[in-house]
Amino acid sequence: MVQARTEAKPIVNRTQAQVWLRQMMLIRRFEERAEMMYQKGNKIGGFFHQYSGQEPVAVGSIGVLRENDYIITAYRDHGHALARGMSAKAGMAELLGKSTGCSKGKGGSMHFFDVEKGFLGGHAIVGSHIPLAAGVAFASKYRGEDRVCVCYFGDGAINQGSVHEALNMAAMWKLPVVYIVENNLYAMGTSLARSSAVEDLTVRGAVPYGIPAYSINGNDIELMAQTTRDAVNRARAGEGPSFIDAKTYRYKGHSISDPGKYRHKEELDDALRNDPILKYQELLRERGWIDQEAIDRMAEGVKQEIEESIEFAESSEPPPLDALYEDITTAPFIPQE
Amino acid sequence: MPIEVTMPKLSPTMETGVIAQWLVKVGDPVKEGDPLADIETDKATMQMKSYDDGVIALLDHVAGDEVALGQRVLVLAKKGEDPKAVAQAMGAAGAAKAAAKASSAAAEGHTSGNGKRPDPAVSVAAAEPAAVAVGGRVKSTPLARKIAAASAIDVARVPGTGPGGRVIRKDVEAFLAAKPAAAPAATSAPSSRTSVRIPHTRMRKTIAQRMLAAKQAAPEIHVSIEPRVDRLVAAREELNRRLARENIKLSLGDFVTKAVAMALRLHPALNASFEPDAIVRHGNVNLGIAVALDEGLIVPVLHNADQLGLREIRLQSEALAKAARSGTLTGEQLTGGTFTISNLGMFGTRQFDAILNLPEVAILAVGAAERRPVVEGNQIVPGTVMNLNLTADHRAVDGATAAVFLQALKGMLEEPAAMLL
Amino acid sequence: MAVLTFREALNQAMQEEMERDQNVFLMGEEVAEYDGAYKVSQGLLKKFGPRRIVDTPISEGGFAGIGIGAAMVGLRPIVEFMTFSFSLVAIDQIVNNAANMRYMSGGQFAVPIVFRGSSGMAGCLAATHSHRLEAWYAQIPGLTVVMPATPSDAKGLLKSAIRTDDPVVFIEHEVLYHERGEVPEGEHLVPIGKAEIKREGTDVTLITYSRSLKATLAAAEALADQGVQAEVIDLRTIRPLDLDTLLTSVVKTHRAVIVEEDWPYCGLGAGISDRITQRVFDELDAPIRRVAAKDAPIPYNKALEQSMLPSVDRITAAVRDVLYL
Ligand SMILES: Cc1ncc(C[n+]2csc(CCOP(=O)(O)OP(=O)(O)O)c2C)c(N)n1
Ligand SMILES: [Mg+2]
Repeated sequence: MVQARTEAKPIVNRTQAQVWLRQMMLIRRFEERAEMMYQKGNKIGGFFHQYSGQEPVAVGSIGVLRENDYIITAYRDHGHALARGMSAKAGMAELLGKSTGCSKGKGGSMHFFDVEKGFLGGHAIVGSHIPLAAGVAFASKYRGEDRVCVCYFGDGAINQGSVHEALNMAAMWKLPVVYIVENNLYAMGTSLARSSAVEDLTVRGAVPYGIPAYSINGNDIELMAQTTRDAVNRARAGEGPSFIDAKTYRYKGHSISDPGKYRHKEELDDALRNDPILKYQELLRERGWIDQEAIDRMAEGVKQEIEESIEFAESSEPPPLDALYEDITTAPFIPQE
Repeated sequence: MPIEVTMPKLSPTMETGVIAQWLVKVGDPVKEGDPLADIETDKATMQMKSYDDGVIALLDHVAGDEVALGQRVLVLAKKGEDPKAVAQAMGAAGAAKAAAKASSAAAEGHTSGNGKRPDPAVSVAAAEPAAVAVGGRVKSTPLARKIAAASAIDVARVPGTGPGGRVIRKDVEAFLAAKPAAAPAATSAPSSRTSVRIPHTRMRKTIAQRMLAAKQAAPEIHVSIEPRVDRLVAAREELNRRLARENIKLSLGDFVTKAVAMALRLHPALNASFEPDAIVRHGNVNLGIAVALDEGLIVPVLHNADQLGLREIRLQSEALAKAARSGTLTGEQLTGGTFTISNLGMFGTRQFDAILNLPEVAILAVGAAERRPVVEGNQIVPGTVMNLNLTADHRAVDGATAAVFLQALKGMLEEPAAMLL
Repeated sequence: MAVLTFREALNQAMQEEMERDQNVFLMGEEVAEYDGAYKVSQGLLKKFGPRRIVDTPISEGGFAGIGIGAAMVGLRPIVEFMTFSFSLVAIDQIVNNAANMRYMSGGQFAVPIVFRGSSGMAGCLAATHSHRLEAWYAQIPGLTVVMPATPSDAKGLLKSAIRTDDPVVFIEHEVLYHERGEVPEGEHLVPIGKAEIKREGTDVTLITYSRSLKATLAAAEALADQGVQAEVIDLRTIRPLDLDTLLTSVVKTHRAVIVEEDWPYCGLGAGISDRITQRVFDELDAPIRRVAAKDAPIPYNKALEQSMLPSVDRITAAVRDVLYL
């Protein structure tokens, strides 16, 4: 049942492809500048996980969804939020803890949310959102809607017990959910080989539950898109969940404080040489869908947009101290102090 | 089911009542409406009546006990029930249960609840200087109580300086330091005539507390005036002749009451209350008339006195005084005053100072009408003069305001016809 | 005496105990090859090898249970949670199995295990990663809960915890890891269940533990400038509570303020306050006050988070309150 896919024929038109390219560049730039704000500006605190290197996974898969589909992910969530169309301003403001941030400055880097976009969050306890995704799909099926929930998680999360409980139920009840493992080979400093008895994650996450699975190069954005489309179609048709093992690579340490010494330099260099953004630029140029000048203009626009998000975030108000007690309960919150 | 009779609310402000006297004993049959006990409240001694028929099975308290509102005082066996068995079943345990219920109800009344901002009424109450909490209990810390007990002093006698008047260790220690000889004195040799110790009644406690509070809170001024009342005396004689048939006899005090009521209508600044954030000028003129009783002082209220004729004033004043003496004043008759008159003229007192009846802003002390030499033109002639001494709360009333009011009062008393205007 | 950081003191304790007892081993996420997410286990893999320093997948429920099973048959595991916030996915194992085993088996099976790791509000970690779970665990009969505040206590208590024949929940605080202090070398054992007076005073008893000790000592200094001599007690062990030390102090000062980073409602301070009140009610000259975190989830924004913590100002205000100043 596991299909290994290697490459895809173009499944997009030129305009769509340009949009995807720009989104990937936007995410990359967002992370670069946010890192600067963290390290140089000391404007951002706490845990901060960058998405750089994994952009095609989020952009390619989200790119084939309908507007009313749902997305849920882990704490490495900036890329998914931006790919889903959340503004860079709302993201940057959240990182700076401002009231204009996508979670009003309460959630920070690991807890981005955007209800308008059907973005059900970044979730910081490893694996804990995977049952949630099944629940969202359950609601969709319950109401007789054809909305699908796409759920992203890391290769490390497969080791949480509740993940397997949820996968079983999702399969048994044919819930419209698509599970995408962003398999970047490491959970913090622990390589897949050192954390998984079987390295093929489809064997652990899909086969035992009879869930159709795909093992693909997630950094091939169009393959990512095509595979997601197939999985989503299955879900919409009432045929239940799918499991996509998307191979990818993170460029930075696990979080801002991780030097990533557990990886060989060659491994990273190799990944950087095959940078998915550069590769896609090359492909689109080959197809004659874009030229270097347009790419440069695009990069300029992206830079501009991120600078504006920084300005916006910096000039936004922090939440007032009273906000501590807001958004805890629907009814006026009564602190038990 | 036997009926548990609880301490009734016999005054608008009472939180506890003292059982002055039982009017029934165990085994007595009672009918609805029968008196059960005399209850001393913070205001008066009132009769507690039965609302049911039955036989007294159990009295929970003895005369002199102070009982919280709502706490059980007796149990009635209903028709067909054996009073002895009821008494057995509903004895101490039942009493304890009733007590617990009452105290938890009282406690509920005093929490501000659920972490919300305290409601202003509650916080005002908490800010009151007296250390008296629900049920007249003295607020004190456990340590303060322990030290007080070890030194054989009643913690209630110690002025508290903690929040809400709480007695804290420092207070007890200061008290002990100030009265080093207190304990030995109690055992010193008796003198030839023994002294009597009269424990404070509810009324005495209330008076003490209110008088002290008034003196502490209000900077007072005294302004007096001496109207010549010869015409008033004459008018009174004339009217009394007419009223003789009805067996009504107007006193000079009645005229003063009438005049004060009229003058207050003209000078509403004196018919007022001082509240923390505002002065409230009252629409009605309700005059408190101080009545001296053996056990203390009580101030029943003559409602809408400005609308009453002299005859009505006389009749109502008399009725109030009587009710006050028999301890049957109703809650309404005890509340709502806007100005108080205290008259000691009948004792020949020429002049005295009264203490404010807060939150009212003024009280009038009325002396005796006396024959005195008066200067009329260039001659000294005999005349009748009385002293009116106004105590006013200077936070609310200026000296001139008080003087103008007294001037109007004087005018009416010197020219009684003016009251007809 | 050597000056060590808190993390070095913990590391030394584990090293010494592993050298002393072959049954002691360390297990958890990133404890071996990564040298510990907070570098508490730095160098241990090199020294003891992968048999005794065991990296796990992100499977807290699983490896907590594995630790308990191993302990039931005689090993003495140290199970590290990267932070105690993640112990929430293993709480079933800790509460149902570790705490109950001896009792349920009528004394036949012991669980000599130490669960340890960081905790607390460590700066912008937001609601899921800032938990203080001491009150949760301290409620469970069968668990011992330890929370050191200084490097010396960290070492001495961890060594004692490892030698304890029952499960110990040993909660460190993330912001204390870099704190330095003198740490006795070698056999330095701090008894479990013994609080320590960290500052003597006569006017008020300040009861605290873990990271809040710092703010409490600072508040005590500030109060000294105002003529108030505060006695500061560091609980060190949360369960069993060293009630004697607390009572002796309260009987002397007649008032107590409890300082904790935990939430106020049903919190640790509530339980401590209850135990004091039950025993020496008549010695109290003021209600026991508590300075705890605000009753809200932990926000990301730094200023909001700061406002939740017991600060010197909040502590001194509470002290002035109980002193009627
Ligand atoms: C239950 C739980 N345990 C541990 C952690 C700490 N932690 C956060 S991310 C992470 C590694 C996760 O790796 P992976 O799932 O591969 O995702 P990636 O970071 O590679 O995107 C760990 C151990 C956590 N957040 N939650
Ligand atoms: Mg990973």
